Amino acid sequence: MKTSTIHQKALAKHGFLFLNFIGFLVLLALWQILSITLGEFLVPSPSTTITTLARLATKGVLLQELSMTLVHLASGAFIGFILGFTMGLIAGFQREVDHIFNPFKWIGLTAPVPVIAVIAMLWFGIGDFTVVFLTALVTAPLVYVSIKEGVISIDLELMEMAKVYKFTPWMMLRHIYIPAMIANIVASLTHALEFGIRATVFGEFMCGKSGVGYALFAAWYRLSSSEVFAWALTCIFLACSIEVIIVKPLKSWSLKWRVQQ
Amino acid sequence: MNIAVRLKSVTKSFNGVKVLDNIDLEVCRNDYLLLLGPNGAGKTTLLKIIMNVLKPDKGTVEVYCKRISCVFQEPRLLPWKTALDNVALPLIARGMSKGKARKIAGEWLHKVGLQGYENYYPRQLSSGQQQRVAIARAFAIEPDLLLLDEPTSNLDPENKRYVMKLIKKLLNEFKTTVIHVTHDPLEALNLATRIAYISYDHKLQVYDRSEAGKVLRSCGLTGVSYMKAIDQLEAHRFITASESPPLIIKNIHEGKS
Ligand SMILES: Nc1ncnc2c1ncn2[C@@H]1O[C@H](COP(=O)(O)OP(=O)(O)OP(=O)(O)O)[C@@H](O)[C@H]1O
Ligand SMILES: [Mg+2]
Repeated sequence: MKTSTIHQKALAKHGFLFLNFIGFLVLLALWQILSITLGEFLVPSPSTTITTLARLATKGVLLQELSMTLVHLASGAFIGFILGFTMGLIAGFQREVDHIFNPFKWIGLTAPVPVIAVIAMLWFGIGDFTVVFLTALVTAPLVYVSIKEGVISIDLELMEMAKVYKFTPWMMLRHIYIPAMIANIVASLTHALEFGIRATVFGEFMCGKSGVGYALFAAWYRLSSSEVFAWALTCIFLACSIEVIIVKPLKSWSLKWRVQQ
Repeated sequence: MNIAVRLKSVTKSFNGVKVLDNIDLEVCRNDYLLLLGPNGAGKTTLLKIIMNVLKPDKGTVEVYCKRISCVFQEPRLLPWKTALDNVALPLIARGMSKGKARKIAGEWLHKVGLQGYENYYPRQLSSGQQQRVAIARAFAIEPDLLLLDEPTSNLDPENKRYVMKLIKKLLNEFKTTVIHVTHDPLEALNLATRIAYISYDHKLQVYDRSEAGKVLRSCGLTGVSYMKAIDQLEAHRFITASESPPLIIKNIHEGKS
């Protein structure tokens, strides 16, 4: 059954690529029409936006802000992942701890990001640290839930068998824990990146001093609509690239791995 | 006498409910102990205590065995490892090199009739075949204590017979101490040196030959089955460990079908 869904996905991917392209053209056309009807200030045309983008790129600002965002995302998601992973492991093996962590989890999962952002700003002011803190705080609960479920789903009978046959701790980790949890590990990594990038850009916008989110804010502050559009396009492009380059391949790899088993 | 396992007043409760009540048990080397009793009596719990994955609440457990194997009710193979690796891993856990472990694992797969299936994953094997992999895994480490927890109860009659025959064949070649939990005493009656019975009140009684009839009746054996069992007892007297004569293999089921 799983194999057939993969097959269908592959078919869909190639068969509908053309339709995707048409959709893209429609989007561009709409953009152009809106720009003509509402004027260049409210909606800068695609060509203006691209020109602005090119100007930002040649000035070096584009690359600089992009790399700052990547640094924010990588460090925030990494801290969030490590935090969520460790706490998820503990809660999975020690059910009492799970209940202690529950209130944190609820707040982490349900608090709107601006709420966390405002409090973070209150504590740490404006800057890189606040952005990283926000990203970590948004990703950690997602990782936590996924990892905890992974631990709970580990087959107790297999662990018992491994104990009888004197598996070493390393063998337990390598041959039981990790294979049993691989889907959850991948899911938590992809969650951390997918939600992390949104949190990072938002954090930069609200409480950062660098990164594409901050650049977007600065352009908006200066009322430079062409730059706003250019940076908005950059943000979307960045999120899409992360999805296409990292998240999708990771997901399909873990799916394939599961099907093989 | 050469003791392999000695339990002294072992008591175990789960959530305040007694599952094992003051159990005393001695198993000698090369004994074949048939462990009988109704569902929920605590047989599996007793095995878990012997294999040290559970601790008793009270009492002492002495196990003078270094290499303990268990064949469980389910095969309990690692789904992400091939049949060969499943058999090889316990050997590797004991410090054997990968290459040597794989070679020995291959030999044992051959002995359980699974040559050619080395690179199959558990899901590609039938339940019977999976259970045979589990048996190969149990024997591969050359256990000095072999625990069998209803190894055939998830199998169809055909496979039940096959698997028991296989275990008997392997035990014929490789002698070891066995504790065998079963609901079907007939399947190993001719191997048993002693019979133990855990009753509803979670107490354990060990019986020898003269009393075996009583145990069998309390296991619900009646009519023809009971007569057959008694025949078995008459035909093959219970073997004591110290005598250790050659094991006689005769499958009582064969007469039935
Ligand atoms: N981990 C556990 N937690 C709570 N209760 C348990 C646990 N393990 C076993 N029990 C209880 O202990 C009792 C004995 O269980 P056990 O599995 O030892 O019985 P058994 O004799 O092997 O039965 P069966 O013939 O059905 O395999 C049962 O009532 C069971 O519900
Ligand atoms: Mg049981």
